[in-house]
Amino acid sequence: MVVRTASPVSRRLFMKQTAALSAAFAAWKASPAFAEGVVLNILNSNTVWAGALTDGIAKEYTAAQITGEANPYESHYEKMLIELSQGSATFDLITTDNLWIVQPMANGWAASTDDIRAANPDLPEFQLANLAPASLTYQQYNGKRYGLPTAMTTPILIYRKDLLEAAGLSVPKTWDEYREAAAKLHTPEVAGNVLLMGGQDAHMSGDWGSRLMGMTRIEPHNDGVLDENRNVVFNSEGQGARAIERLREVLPYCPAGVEGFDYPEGSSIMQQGGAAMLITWSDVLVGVEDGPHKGKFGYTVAPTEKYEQQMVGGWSILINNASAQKEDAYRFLAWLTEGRGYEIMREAGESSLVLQRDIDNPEVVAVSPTLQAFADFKTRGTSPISIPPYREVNAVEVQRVIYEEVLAGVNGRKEPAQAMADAEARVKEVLAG
Amino acid sequence: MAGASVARAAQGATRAQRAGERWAPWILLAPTLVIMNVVGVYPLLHSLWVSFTGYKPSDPNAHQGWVGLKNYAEAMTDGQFWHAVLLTGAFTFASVALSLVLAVLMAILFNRPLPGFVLMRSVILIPMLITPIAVGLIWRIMMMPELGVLNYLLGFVGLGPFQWGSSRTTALVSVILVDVWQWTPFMFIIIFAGLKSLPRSPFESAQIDGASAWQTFWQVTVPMLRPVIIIAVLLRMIDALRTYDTIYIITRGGPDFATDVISIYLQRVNFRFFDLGYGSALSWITMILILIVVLIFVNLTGFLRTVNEKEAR
Repeated sequence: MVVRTASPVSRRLFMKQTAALSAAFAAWKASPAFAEGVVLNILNSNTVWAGALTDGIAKEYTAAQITGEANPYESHYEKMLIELSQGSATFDLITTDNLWIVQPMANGWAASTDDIRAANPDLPEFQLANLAPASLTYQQYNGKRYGLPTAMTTPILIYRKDLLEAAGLSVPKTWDEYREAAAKLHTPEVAGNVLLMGGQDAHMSGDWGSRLMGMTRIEPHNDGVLDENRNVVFNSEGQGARAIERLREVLPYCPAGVEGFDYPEGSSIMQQGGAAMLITWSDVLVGVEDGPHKGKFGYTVAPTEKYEQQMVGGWSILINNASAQKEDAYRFLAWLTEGRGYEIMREAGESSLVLQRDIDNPEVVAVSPTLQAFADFKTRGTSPISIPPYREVNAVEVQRVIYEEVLAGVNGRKEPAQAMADAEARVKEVLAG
Repeated sequence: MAGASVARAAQGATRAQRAGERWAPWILLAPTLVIMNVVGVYPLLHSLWVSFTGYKPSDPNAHQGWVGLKNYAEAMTDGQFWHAVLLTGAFTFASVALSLVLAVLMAILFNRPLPGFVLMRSVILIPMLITPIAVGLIWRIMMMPELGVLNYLLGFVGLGPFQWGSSRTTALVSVILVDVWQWTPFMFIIIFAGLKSLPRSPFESAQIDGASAWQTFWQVTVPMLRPVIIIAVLLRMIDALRTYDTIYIITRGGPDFATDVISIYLQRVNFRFFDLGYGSALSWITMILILIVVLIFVNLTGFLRTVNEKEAR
């Protein structure tokens, strides 16, 4: 038999409970934590430093909640462009490869941090002296600062110390030495060197760009591709064609399948002992020291030709101009410049460092051996070139055009001089819109 | 009086019924029509409009407005685009032809009541059930020249090593093989179903007339399967013409543009360069080209005639 009883919640009790809940909700809303409740959302990358932004740094930074959406490299640019071009405020902060950085700054999608502070002088100043000077150039546009660096990289030469020693070779410092070493080290089992012809960015920046930079004198506002007046200069003295010839010289000493190699394949073949030398960006070498040849690798600045100068790249973080929380975003960036945030990135495993005291610390270099290249800048007298290559809003398109022509030159579909002449003509077309 | 009102009521009911009959199909179709227009027709027409503009969100300072036929004229002289068109044609032809031959052979083989064939018929359908991204990843790893299992296995029979997707000369063949591997089961299942539905009597007559297996295949099986084969080829052809994901994962259009098919090129123009005006024009030209290919195929094969004849019967 079912015995019906009165509901245990009487009307009076219900009213009391509702009142209590309302009071609790009001108290919660009034609490300092919620009043301050700023959430800064980052359009993020999927790298180590990017992970630290929403993990270790988010835990340490108390003035706002830091959230983010990690994107793989391939889709990061698309996402950034769609969000910013449509004026979306979903993200308060935007991380960007320095290759694309001019686009948000020139199009007014990123807010100038100088302007934000000018509007409110109570905001703290950025402590930029803590950061590597070469990493700070990218976020400057038309005399104003637009953000901060998050990672600094440079093309490095990674080589097998044991193989060079066995062949009686010293570490190559010039392209002639590099070619000779590649030829001498090349065997059916171990390739003399690796090119990354299957990856647009890898081939452009790691293979061709690194060679190009040593071919001619780069003026302070000339990035090796364009000068400050948007003139195409990558082959003004025939240095672009010469860079292609340099690539063709070492192509016979590459492993099988090199036409399809991108960053991962380059790291992988070095890790497995299939090649003796590779030039690539310092931040894309993954797992090389986790393989059977651990401890046998040396890292230094990439070879040069006539001049000791080398490209420096990396990633940056900017404030979205459409964000309603620009001052809070600025405060977060100002906090980063104090240094602790960058230390957290390093503690998380990042090796493309920006904090100068970390880069200068021998203990840190011992843990992140790719940093040796930056140390070698000083001993070799290398000047870092840190201006975005293809410094146009359509940098991606310009890079693609040059890639297609460089590849045609390297693969022998065109003579290097013809490939460069075609590249010049096509880049001018792209720049003209 | 009462009779008149009943008649009027009946007349009213008939009128309402007629109106209901007239409008009911539209009311029932309305949700579908609205959705189709919102998600299908409107974007299509919008992209047609965009194709006559210089819309390029990556460069807001560039002229974004009406440019007339400029994008279409530019496409006519775009060597990369026509290279992609030819490559897509070669890819589609090779992939569909190979799939068709294999699918017909498999359908005939599996049409025999042999032990274990029921299970095997199910197993060979697995490739088409796998998402193309996963297919691309699996094959990319298997085709690695140094570390991949394909070269390792071929080494046992003295073949290889091949460069597969890493070489200009073998990349297109490699992606065609992957496409054939994934989509032959699709053609197989259609042709197999067609084969199963064929009447027995023509085969029995052929047997009585003393036709050989080869004669029976060409003079009985193929003519009767013709409408099914045409449908299978048509569907497969349309699918192959727009292949994107597998190729993107395996070669990204490389090496050196060896697999730079239309869909890869369109993705680059539209979503890397964000040159949406030009990209839309290219997309429309591509659509028109596909339409022409399909119409030629339909005409050559007499597909519509076959359908009309069936409907008439």
